[in-house]
Order: sequence, then structure tokens, then C-alpha cells
Amino acid sequence: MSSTDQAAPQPPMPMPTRPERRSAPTILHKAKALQDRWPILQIVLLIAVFIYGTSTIEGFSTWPSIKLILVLAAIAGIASMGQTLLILMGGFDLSVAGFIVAGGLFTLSVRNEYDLSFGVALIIVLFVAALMGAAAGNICHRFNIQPLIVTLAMGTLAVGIVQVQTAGGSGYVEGGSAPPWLSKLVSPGSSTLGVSVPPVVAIWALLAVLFGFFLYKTRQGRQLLATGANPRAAEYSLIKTRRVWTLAFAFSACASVLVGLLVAGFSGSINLTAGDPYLFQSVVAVIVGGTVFGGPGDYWRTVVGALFLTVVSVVLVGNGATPAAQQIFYGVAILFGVSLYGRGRRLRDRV
Amino acid sequence: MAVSEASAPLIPSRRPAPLRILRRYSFAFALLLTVVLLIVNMLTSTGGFGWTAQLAVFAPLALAAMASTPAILSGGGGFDLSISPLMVFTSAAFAAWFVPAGLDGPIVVPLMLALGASVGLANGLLIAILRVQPVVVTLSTYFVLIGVNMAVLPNSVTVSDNWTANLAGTVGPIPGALFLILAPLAIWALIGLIPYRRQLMAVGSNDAAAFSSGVNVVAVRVGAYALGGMFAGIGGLAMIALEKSASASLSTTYTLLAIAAVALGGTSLWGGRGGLIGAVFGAATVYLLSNLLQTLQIDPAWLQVLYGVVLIVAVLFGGLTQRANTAATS
Repeated sequence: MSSTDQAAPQPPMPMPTRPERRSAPTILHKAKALQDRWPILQIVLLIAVFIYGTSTIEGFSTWPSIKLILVLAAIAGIASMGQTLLILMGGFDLSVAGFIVAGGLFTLSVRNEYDLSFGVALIIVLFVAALMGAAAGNICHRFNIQPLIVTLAMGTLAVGIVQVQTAGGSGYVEGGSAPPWLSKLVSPGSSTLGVSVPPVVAIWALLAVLFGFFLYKTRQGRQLLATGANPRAAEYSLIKTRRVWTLAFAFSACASVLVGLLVAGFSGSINLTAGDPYLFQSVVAVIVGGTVFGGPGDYWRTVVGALFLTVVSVVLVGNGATPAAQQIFYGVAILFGVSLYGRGRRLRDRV
Repeated sequence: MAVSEASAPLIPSRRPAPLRILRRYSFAFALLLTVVLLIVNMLTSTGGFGWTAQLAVFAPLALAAMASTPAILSGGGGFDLSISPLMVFTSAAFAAWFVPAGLDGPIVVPLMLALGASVGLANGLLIAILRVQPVVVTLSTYFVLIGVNMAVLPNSVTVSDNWTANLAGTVGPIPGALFLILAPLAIWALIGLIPYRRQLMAVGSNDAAAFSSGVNVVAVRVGAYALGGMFAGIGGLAMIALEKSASASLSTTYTLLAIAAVALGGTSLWGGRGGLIGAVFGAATVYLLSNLLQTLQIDPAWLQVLYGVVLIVAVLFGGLTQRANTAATS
């Protein structure tokens, strides 16, 4: 992968300096090093945007409003889990939206056509999603193809397969609404074990801890990071990189299916375009958080990215921004994020 | 990937004939599919094939595929995801800016080309200057352009009957869409007369080697995105001619289809091999397949499934031929 041949983070040097002439680290270098370690800029911006929101929008910093922001951030954050994993590994997932829609539609409405219970429907859709994700990862690795292309195909295929089961391909089935417990799970008004925090936020916090543990403290997590850092070296260290790719893509597809349930629970129903915003958000959250293709990075950075993204979106909408402006913001945020962290090597350094 | 390709046979075996033809003419497979599908389509269609109308519907897809090709040829993970929204953006500019400003007639054509080329150029410069993966840069321009399209076209704008109708109809006895499809091919052929096209292929095959041989890799890559953007400008014209209107909701229509067409057309997704003719035949294959589905009156929802499957098959086909090629040459 071209994405993985980048060197360890290096300070951008305006001129090629020889090692012996390198001057003492300036404040700028220190700041850059610190920024590489911690997403300080993002947190400062997050606080700044939050303060701006408090001053311009009535009741922005009240607890109910913060709970709503947390729920939105939690859904975006959970939707970015698979994306974080894949980007760390040097992959990319454009099928997030497709699997969200497929998962939500099948478990909520299409199952009624076959008289399946919720649980059985969920197992079926998870199984199929895992198979399709695994196929995507395997194809990408086997033929060294841009993951973007294969996942684009898989996402379209996933939606298509569910869509053809609805009446006339309308994507609508009678009686397709979220079960009450699901709505309660993501409702900003509900509480977890008596504490006034929505359950989905508590789940997100738990997942963030588990994810961090998985990535850095388990063998599989380490293998994934090694695959992202240098696939060739990982292969020489007897890591089966193709298996890592296959499993990671399967995980991402399944995670997206589960997010489909959360999305359906949050909005009460699901339609064919319900997944699109989460595709954008997952990419933006990971990249703005400072996770780079092939690593380094971490899930808690994505958590910061998701919070930042959500607060900015809410402030934008609260100040009357159109969906068009939000869309443009997503694009610019990605560019800004990658130019901060994800720059490749100069060609002359690769010769 | 080099790891798994190390198992090539030591003694090069003689390649089977189909592979030899494919190696020489990378578009041969798509050409074969096009011919077969065309015959099937003409046999199944009732009441004549309707060349003029069919070509008009086909033109935007063919142009999207051709516009996606230069970036892919330039290698290094080169890829332009923003072609489809860019086509809509140029059509939006036509319907919402140029026509109301009284700019009518063929004078708009260079404007559309320049607009497309400048967005492509911006893509290329961002990729070259920021040194960020092309996929990421064009994904963000994809988002930005969709947003811009929504802002420029809150509602779809209808273009009242003007000269572009000829491009979807006929110019004299010739279907107008042919001009649109042939324009990029003519430009591509002209570029073949200067060193640029060879340099593009060299950069796509091995950028470090091209750099060592004195090719200005950055300029060649930036040029590829600008060229693709220019073709997208022609695509915008084709969309206007077909739809007689511009609508932001069409922004992502051709994203997947264009990639599928390019891959089917034999252009290597790793860069350096292929060309515009392959993209046209690849697009023809995709178009004729979906056309066949409609003639057979199959539920339109199946189109989604078909497109997904076609793209995966195209990618697998590309991967397998590439592998066969490397195995046979090493």
C-alpha cells in the first residue's frame, strides 16, 4: 500500500538540513512534538467552539442540551470504530453508510416479510455483513486494491440486497419502526442505572476503554498496528496480514450494522439515505482526531474527533447553517486534519 | 503485496493467447463484452434500438469514466473520487450562472472545460503540495463539491430549449452525443503527440524510476487531475443535454459506475496501463447491462445489486489479469 510507506512522524522541514547542522529544538518543534502526542489543538478548538455555542445559542450549555450532544457524538463515535481500526491498518471503509442502512432496514422492517424475530434477523444480517466485509478485506489485500473501491462496491451491494426485498425496491415496509427498548437506549432523556446519562453514552465510554485495551494490550491489536505500520515487516514477523485485513473489514461491517440499529432507534425509522451522514462523520472523526493511515493513532483520538465534529455541527445548525454548509465543513475538516498529520514523504526521499 | 508475488514461476511459460491479446490491447475484454451485450440488447429491444437517445443516456457515464482515467493512470494510489460531483457542479454553473448571465451558444464550452480543469487542478495541487493520499484529498473535494452543488442548486434548475438539445438529439444526421464522447478521445489522441502521455504512463508505472529519469513527476500528476477535471466539464455538458436541467441530487450518480467502467475497461487500478478507449468500452458494458435489465423489466432495485457486483467483478478481473501479467513477465 502506498499509504503505509510513510516514515515515522517527522517535523516538516522547509529545507533539507543535515543532521550535524540541526539547531536546538525551537518552541515550534516542541509544540509540534506535543501536538503529535496529544490532540491539544483539537481540544482547545472543541472548548472554543463550545464557548462560542454557549454565547450564541440559548440554552446550549444546559444539561439536556449537553446530553443530546453526547448522544449524537456517541452514535458518530461508535460509527467510527470500524473506520478507526481500518485506517490504523492502512485501509479505508466507504461501506459504512451501506451497512448502516442494510442493518437497520433488515432488522426493523424486512424481517416482517419473513416472520423472523428481532434476534434471528440480527444474527442473519450480522453473519452476511461479516461475510461481505471479510470478502472485501480479502480482495483488497490479495490484489492490493484501493480499499475505497472494494468497500464502495460492498456498501452498494449491501443496500441493494436489502432493498430488493422491500416492496418495489421502495426501501419501505409496513410496520417498520424501532422497538421501544432500542429507542430508550439512545433517547437523550433516559438514564443508565439511575444516573442521568443516556445508556448509549455509557456504552460508548465502555467501548472506548475496551477498544483502547484491545489495540494496545492484546496480541491481535498489536498485530493490527504492526500491519498498518509496515505490512512487509509485519509479514516477516510471521503476522498473517491477510487474515488481519479480512477480520478487520469483517469487524467494521458488523459494527456498522449495529450502528444501523442505533440510528434507527434514534430517529424511529430508517430510510435508504439514513446512513450517509455517518459515513462522512466516521471519516472526519478519525482524521480530525489525528489518526493517520497506517498509524499511529488511537480510538480515544477518534472520541475527541467525534465530540469536536458533533459540537461544531450543532453550533453550525444552531446558527442557521444549511446542510450544504455542513457538507463543505466536513470536506475542509478532512483536508485540515490530514495536512496536520498524514503527509507522505517527498518523492526525492524515496528514490 | 510484493511478499505474496514472490512465488512467480522461475521459468517463464508461454502466455495463453487470450492473455497475450489482453496484454497488447487492455480494452479487448470490454470490447468483447460490449459487442455481445449490444447484440443481445438489439435482439431483445422492441421497436428499434434508438441509437440517438441511447447514446445521449450513455454519454455522461462514458465521460465520467474517461474523466476518472487520467488520475488512475498517474499511479501512486491516484484516484479522483470527485468526478461525479464535479460534473454536476459544471452543469450547475451552466444552468444557474452562465445561462442567466446571457452566455449562450458554444462560447460556454471553453468556460465549462476551464471550470472543470481548474477544480481538477486544485485537486492535483492539493495532492502534490500537501503530499496527502489522493483518495483523501478527492474525498474531501467530493464532500465540498456536494455541498457547493446543494448551495448553488437548492432546487433543480431547468434549462429551457437551447443549443444543448442538439447534443442529446442530432447534429445533421449524426447523433449529437457522439461529439461529446469523441471530444476527450480527440484531446487524448492529440496529447499522444507530445511527450506528456508517455510521461504519464511512466509515472504511473514507477514514479521513483520516472523521477530518476528526470520526469517532473509532480507536474505530470497535477496535469492528470486537471485533464480529468476538463473531461468532467464535458461531462457536465452531457448531463445538461440529457436532463435539460441541473440538479444537486445527481451529485453522486456516476461515482461507482465510473470506477467500474474504468476497471472493466482494462485500465490498471495501480496506474501506468490503460487508456480512454478502455473507459468507453467499460462504460458501454455497464450501460448495456443496466439497459438489458430494464428491457427485461426487472425491478429497478436490482440495479444496485448489479452495480455492486459489476464493480467487484471488474476489480477481480483487473487483479487477476495483473497477476497473470506479472507472473508471466517475471
